[in-house]
Amino acid sequence: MNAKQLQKYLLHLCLCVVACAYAALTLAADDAGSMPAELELAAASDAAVQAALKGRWEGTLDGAFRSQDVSWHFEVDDDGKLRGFMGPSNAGMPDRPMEDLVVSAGLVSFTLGSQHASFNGTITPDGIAGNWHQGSPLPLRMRKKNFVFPLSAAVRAALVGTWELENGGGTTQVTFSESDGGTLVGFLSTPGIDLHDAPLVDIFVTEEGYAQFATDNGRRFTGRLANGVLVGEYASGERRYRRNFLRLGDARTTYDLALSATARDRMLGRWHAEVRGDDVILEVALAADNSTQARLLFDEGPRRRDELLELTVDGDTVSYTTFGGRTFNGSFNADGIAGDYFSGSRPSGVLYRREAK
Amino acid sequence: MTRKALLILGTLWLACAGCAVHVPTPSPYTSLAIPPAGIAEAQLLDVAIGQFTFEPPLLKRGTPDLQLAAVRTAESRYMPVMLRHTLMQSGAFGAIHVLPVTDGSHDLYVDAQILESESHTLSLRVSVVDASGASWFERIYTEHVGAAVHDEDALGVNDPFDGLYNRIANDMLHEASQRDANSVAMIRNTADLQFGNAFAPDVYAPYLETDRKGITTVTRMPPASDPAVVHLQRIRLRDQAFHDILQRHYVDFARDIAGSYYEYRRQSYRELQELQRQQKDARNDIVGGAVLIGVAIATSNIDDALATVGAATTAAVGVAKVVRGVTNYSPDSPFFTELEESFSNEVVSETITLDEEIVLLSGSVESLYEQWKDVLRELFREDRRQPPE
Repeated sequence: MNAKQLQKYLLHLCLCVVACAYAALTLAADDAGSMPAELELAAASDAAVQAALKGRWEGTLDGAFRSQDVSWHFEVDDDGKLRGFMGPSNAGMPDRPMEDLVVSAGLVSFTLGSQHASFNGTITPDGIAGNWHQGSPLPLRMRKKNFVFPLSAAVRAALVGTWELENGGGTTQVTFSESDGGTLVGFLSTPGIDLHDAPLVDIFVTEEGYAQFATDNGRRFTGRLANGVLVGEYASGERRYRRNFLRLGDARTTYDLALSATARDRMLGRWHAEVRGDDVILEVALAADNSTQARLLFDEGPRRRDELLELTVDGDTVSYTTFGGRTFNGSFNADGIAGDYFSGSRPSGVLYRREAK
Repeated sequence: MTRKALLILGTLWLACAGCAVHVPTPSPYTSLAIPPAGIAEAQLLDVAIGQFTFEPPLLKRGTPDLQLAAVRTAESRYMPVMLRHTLMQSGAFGAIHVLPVTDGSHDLYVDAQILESESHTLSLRVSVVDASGASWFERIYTEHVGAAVHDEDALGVNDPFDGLYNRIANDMLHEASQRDANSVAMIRNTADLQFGNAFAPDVYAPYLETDRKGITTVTRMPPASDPAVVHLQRIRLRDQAFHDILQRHYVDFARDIAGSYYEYRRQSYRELQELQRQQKDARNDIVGGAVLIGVAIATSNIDDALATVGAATTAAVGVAKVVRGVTNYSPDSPFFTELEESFSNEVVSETITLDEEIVLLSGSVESLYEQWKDVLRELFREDRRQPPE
């Protein structure tokens, strides 16, 4: 083929491509009338595609021998970048980041290296349908829906209302309200900055007080509800902070632990432990109003005192959660209370010995 | 006194090391090889996978460990179904059947022994032999898995050890690809005649020859119009249909236990991880005690050192006790309830129509298979009495 022939061939090829693209766009426009507005994605702008994907998606991997309900969560971070997460539906909020996520021309694909898996699919009028590749391909159809988690009236009542991010200068609030069907809905607002409210697309709370929620714009909280405080970790995009949410107007600095008389009598006093070479005192005291209060006292560090939000004594087992996110699980033995102390993610085995009066 | 404390510490250290909980590093994952262009029908070999075998597990005093034996029995049926599923996914083989024993009418026979099966490790000795008796390979496959498959947020519905099954399937495919069309045809013909020979040796033995190494070859094929060939094909088709029926029972069993078996292995893995952590803490305490004794020698403050030694002793002995008590299963797992139910429901019935006769087979899967072989013998006798239409 000489240069002239090649030029002619390329010209024909270009014309063919243009004609095919025109035909495809015309067909897509004809079909669009039957699609829900939020899923008119094949020909939509990136921003529109992202807006339609944001939120929670549910589906089922139906294998030959087992099945697993799975969830996706898509969010757009402050830089306008779409991020996706996947996880089993029963494990709370999806938190395995989708790698190499590509959403383009109505196609969605990503990989999950740690799981030796990938997904390739197409955006359809009623969801995203494709194949999950982990070994042989399995069909997977995902549908968008807000996560609905049935909760007891007591748990709903404990969360309904407005909460403010600790030390957030009033700039971040989250509001829960009850919806039909015995669950919660909510939104995250930023009154100080006056951004748009972001609906909570994932609310996961268990009767034991484990709590998670997320917005579709990259805000998420993971922690537990303890004595009227949502204690845990707050993330905004890639940044993660150990921060609590407090009820709006909650100015408590001490917390009534509501111990039974027997448990209180066993625990009252000062207990000493050594954690990685540092002294920690667990002080359990009776306050003037006859409530039981407790705190951890440290010799060093910016926070020398950390109030206990919960202290549970059940038979010989003892556990606590502090305002600063420290936890302990252990049991009485001949020497004191031995168990695992968590501060951050690393557990330490400790032994609390009662201090001599 | 100091020497005594050091001696105790040394003994404890050795005790801890001796009963160490070891959770191995996960093996690299092997994907399943799928022939891109597929394999021609004439080149596909039928595979029989025997129920896996295992050494009866014993407790320390030599008495049988009945609970672990129940697990192994379940695994001996479950694992071949996983291998069958993998081979089917590869698309590289013909009909694949799990059978109580591999004495059927297949082109390839796969037998395996469970050498080790724990939440984190599966080790199988696998042998693959073709219908002529030629060994394709005998290998030990060991795979370690970890948090990626046992974590709370692990994704997927495959068996945790599917990488191991993929390796077996890939090796079988590799061996198959080394054989040309003539070799494959020879294996298939041998399988056909071996099947007939098992039931009517006086008719089929003249077509086969077995050498000193036990390799059987086809000396000549009977003509296609030979009544013997017609009989054989007729009965083989029925035999294959019966094998299909058996698969339903094996697959149902695997489906019944898959969920609870998966959870049981996951729970066992977490318990081992927790023990490993406790053991590490105990060892650190012992090191701390040793350091303190060193300091005590220098400062004459032996009381503190002995107190630490005491605490370390308590911790180490506690962990050692737990480790000694650790088996590779959790007796409280719902898996055992599932197993009990599956085993108690294992008597099955199958009604099979043979021309105008209806045969009822009943019993365990293994017993059905034995009864079926009696039916086959009868069919051979019948067919030889009545010339085919």
